[in-house]
Amino acid sequence: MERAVVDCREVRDLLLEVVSGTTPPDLRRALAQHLERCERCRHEAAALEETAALLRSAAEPSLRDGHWDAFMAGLDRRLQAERRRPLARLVRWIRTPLHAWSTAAATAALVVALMFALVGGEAPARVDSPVVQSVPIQGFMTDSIVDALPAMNASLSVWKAGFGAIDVPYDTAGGD
Amino acid sequence: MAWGRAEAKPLAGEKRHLKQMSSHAEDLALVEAFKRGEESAFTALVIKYREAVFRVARRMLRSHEDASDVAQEVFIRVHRALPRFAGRSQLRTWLFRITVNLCLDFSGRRSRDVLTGLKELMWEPSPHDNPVELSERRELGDVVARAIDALPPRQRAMVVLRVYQDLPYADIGQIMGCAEGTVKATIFAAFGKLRRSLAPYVTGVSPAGE
Repeated sequence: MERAVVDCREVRDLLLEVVSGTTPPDLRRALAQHLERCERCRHEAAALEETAALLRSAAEPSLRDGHWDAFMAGLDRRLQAERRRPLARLVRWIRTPLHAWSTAAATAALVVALMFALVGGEAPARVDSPVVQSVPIQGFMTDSIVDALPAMNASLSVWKAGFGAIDVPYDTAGGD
Repeated sequence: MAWGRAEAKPLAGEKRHLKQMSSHAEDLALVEAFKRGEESAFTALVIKYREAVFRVARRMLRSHEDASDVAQEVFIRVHRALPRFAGRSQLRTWLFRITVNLCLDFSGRRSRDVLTGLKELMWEPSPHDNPVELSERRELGDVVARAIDALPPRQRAMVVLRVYQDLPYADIGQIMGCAEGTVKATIFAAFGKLRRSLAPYVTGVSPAGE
């Protein structure tokens, strides 16, 4: 379908598209029709076109022999160094979604074990608590553990959502 | 350019779109393979995109070695973050976003003059080069590179992505974190500046601008 160009401002945008990339045929036709009757835009088009042509004519120089071999070797060295850093390895391992579940389970188990060790299992279980009644480990449930349950649940839900799947903000670290 | 030659490339846009879709599908397959533990999939991605990333970095930084460093850093960050890549945006767009951000950071920190030795690094004669042509090419390349280098960093990035990588405005908007209209206006302004900088090489344009 033929598309009409309405004004010089739109023509300016189109000119930019034409000189710096590909433009659909209908738009090119509409642009050509406008340029036939608008001297100012014709002048603009000529200058833009020449500038774009000049930029493109400054072709990329050829790369030296062995450039990519050196590049890949350098990248490999840096990746190897990265892998050797224990903290980086741990973070990468945790950020892998498949590992997040096991990490979450291990963390939760560790927290429970720590709390149990801290209170020494001396305090009697609060049997009237509905939370305690709903879990099979009533014998281990002290008041402090019961109090900490909401926070532990919240942490667990974050892990379940996939710690590694959280979008990284727009920065150089990336994240799609 | 013949403005009325509208039918010159009737399917160029569609072909490019299909090619991009196919490339995106291929990227996703490689990303999935990498997530399954196939390191060779990452190597394939590096080989596919290293040249584009390197060339953008070199146009941005005007230094062969700095561009190499930045391009390697891009792929290291990609390697780190790839397990979390969900495929909502195109891998190519994501790569360029990291590249441009790193280049902008790098440009801001850089204090030494990268123009030193640039000609030797950038213009290596090939045995087939005619000395006169080579000299002209060097001069033009240097003039254009200087004109682009004189642009503010974000304008420079947009021009490089548009002119040398042929990216659509929408993709450039995603990379730069701004609206498509902003990209167009910025590139248009950049072209105005380039036109003035390159006036001696553009017929019919006075150095003053119009």
